[in-house]
Amino acid sequence: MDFFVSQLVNSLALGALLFMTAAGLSLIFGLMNVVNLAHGSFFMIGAFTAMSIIQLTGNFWIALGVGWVPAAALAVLMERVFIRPMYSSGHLNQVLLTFGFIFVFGDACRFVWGTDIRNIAPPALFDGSLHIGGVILPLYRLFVVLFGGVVGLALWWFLERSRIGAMVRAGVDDPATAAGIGINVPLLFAAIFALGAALAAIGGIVASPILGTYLGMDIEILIPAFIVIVIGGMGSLRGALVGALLVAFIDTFGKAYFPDYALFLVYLLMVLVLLTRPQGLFGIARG
Amino acid sequence: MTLLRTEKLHKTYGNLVVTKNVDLEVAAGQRHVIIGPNGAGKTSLVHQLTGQIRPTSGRIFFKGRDVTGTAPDALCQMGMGRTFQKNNLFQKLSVRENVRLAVQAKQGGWYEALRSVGSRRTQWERADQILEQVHLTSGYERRVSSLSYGEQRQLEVAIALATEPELLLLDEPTSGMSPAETDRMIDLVRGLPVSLAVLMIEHDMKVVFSLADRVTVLYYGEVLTTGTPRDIQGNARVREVYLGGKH
Amino acid sequence: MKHRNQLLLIALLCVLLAAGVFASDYVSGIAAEIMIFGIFAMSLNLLVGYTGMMSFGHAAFFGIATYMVIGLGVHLGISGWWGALAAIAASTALAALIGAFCIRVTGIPFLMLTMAFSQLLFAGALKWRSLSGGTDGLTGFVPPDLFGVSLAQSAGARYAVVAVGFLLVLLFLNCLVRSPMGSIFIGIRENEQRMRAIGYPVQRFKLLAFTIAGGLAGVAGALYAFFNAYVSTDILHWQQSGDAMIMVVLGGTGTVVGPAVGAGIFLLLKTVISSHNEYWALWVGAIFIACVMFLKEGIWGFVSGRLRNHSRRPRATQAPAVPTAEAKK
Repeated sequence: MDFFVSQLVNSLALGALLFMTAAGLSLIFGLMNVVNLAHGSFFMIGAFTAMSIIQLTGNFWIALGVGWVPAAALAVLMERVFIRPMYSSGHLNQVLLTFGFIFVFGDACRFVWGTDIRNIAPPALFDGSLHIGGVILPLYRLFVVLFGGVVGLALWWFLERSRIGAMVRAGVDDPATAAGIGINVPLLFAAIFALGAALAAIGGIVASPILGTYLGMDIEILIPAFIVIVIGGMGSLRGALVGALLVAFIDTFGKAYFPDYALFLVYLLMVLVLLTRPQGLFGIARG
Repeated sequence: MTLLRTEKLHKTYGNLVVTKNVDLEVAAGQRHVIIGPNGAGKTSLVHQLTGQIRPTSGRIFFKGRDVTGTAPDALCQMGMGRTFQKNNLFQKLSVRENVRLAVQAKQGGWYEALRSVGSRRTQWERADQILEQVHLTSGYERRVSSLSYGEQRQLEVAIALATEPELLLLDEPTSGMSPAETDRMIDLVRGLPVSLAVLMIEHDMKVVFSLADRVTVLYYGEVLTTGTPRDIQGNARVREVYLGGKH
Repeated sequence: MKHRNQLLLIALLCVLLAAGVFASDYVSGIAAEIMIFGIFAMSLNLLVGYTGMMSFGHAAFFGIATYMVIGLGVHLGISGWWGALAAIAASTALAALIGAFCIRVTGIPFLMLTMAFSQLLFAGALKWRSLSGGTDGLTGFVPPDLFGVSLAQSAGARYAVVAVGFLLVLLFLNCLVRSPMGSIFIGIRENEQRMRAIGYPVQRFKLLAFTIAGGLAGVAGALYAFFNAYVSTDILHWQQSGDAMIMVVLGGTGTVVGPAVGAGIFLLLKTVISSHNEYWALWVGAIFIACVMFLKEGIWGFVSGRLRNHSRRPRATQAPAVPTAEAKK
């Protein structure tokens, strides 16, 4: 039972991480119809930036507070210069374009941070564990779960309740009309892309005390993130949440009880969903 | 002989009824036109007849066989050809190749992987023949995208003809055409073999009266009335609901 | 291209390839590797460029062939030649199986599904470590003899086998894209809906394209087994599929041989740049992005288009970037 509870917390934490990362990806697709394969790169850039900030200031919270900025800035640049001309070229060309960026960003990170890469320790505040009736619950993981929840709520409020969210939805449904009523659609798209990247970066910062900080983490997070939004549905926040929890549960409990099959099961689930419901559990069926 | 027959064809999307118990009959060699105001469900009907969408209920019979829910490619092989309302061509291929692909679909030889297409002289010649039939006379090597809109509409018909259909479904063939182009299209259809049945969706009354043996009027998804052009002209209810059409 | 010019080019190619047998081991080694991945990329292009199906899971068919050859050799002592036959059969069969599922969707879901199946195979290979050797891989494979010459020892012989394979695949694909079947693949790429409306069973042909492409990838995989004599699960990772896609785009989707040129560019860039500094991925990525944005016909597409325009009298119409079936005059 104790083992079960600790695995439960682990899977919730992993789920929160996956959710934050996948939410950005889903947002970008759902709102802009763009598939960004370089999303994992933003995840990694966030983690590395945070690492540098912590090396400089020793403070995790500052790193979390501003560590996502370089990723977001890069995203704006990428959107304006490279993606914008490609809006009319179709999904598959966009996939190719962003795929190329994986290579560029990967090497760029290697160039900037080189071999001087170290893991981030959890912040002092959450370094340690809670002992409840024989179960050891790492405080940091509990924080991650909470943080993920807060981010999710904030996103939901932003999209569903705020004026900006309404503008976003209008701009996506009908850019021409939206422009007609004064919404700056290009600015909006750049902002959304930046938001998606920021989410990935924050996911990376929060993830690194658990998953580590290393070159190649961009590619390793990419597939799980895509599995999440394929299962949950591209463009759906709810789908990202459900998908993330599902994948996290299967992965964590799979590794714990059926160690050899965990990876297999996750991919199998992805295949099944794609075959029976290609738009995902909560997704919008788009062309 | 009845070539195409529908029996209480019905299509709903949730609460929206787009096709309401439609009974339709097209005889062999007949020129049958379906008219109706916008939103009457003509396009939906075409999609169901050509197998693109499945009706909610009701049946479609082609050459006596129940073909409800049959896929478009199987229907074409059975002898139902169609054109599209919006030009649906192979834009980047040559005019000739557009038609040749359709000829090849009918003539076969699909699985030849080692012989060159260029050696299939009969297919090229047949394609040229059909292009002449639709009054396209030159520029067969041109890309489709370089043709005028009217020429592309003609090519639409050529492709459908190349599959040697017994029933040709023309979906608003004159849409977007100038009066001169419309006349050309009327001549084209008039010149089609008498053995070929033609089911046409149309808006343009001039076309209707020039070509139709029989007219079916569609209104809000159901058949209002069906008869000869003269009957329709004299029908007060038709005049009432369908004040459209150009005279 | 005119028939005569085609034959001339093929003859030239044969001469060039024959010369490679006599080059240094290092050079023929690189050339052989380029040709192997050239076959891999050309096979992917049958899907991407000619049928319009973008797959990110092609490594599965390459990898399973390599595994078959080496696995059968190491575990059962079966000669590489028989292993190669079995490998190509296996990759063709696998492609038919996976393809049957994947063609049920299109676009991004298709992309994801091909990748998922490939990753499934990857995960399976990781799990069945006893068969696959896991990340450590299978060692101890001895390439067979060719007419008494040991492929294990003679780089020239290895090169010759690869070169012959490359030529055969190139010739086959050239014929295929100009054939009736090829015209159907192209038609599907151009307008799937219209192809159905004129009577083609489109799904059947998509499966056919997928299967042929998988089988050809298997040829590449089998040759790789001879060439490398080693395999690990890396070969099934989706990055292999991604690399193949890069080669296709770099070379260009509009011709049969373009992707092979792309493979050459990719591998040469990698070799040359990484001998100077370690940032070859940055350069390859940048060139790739430039091709996606500005040079959609790829580097070879661009070059061959220029060559064609110079050698012919100017035409009133612009020839499409993709070969269409045109009547022989």
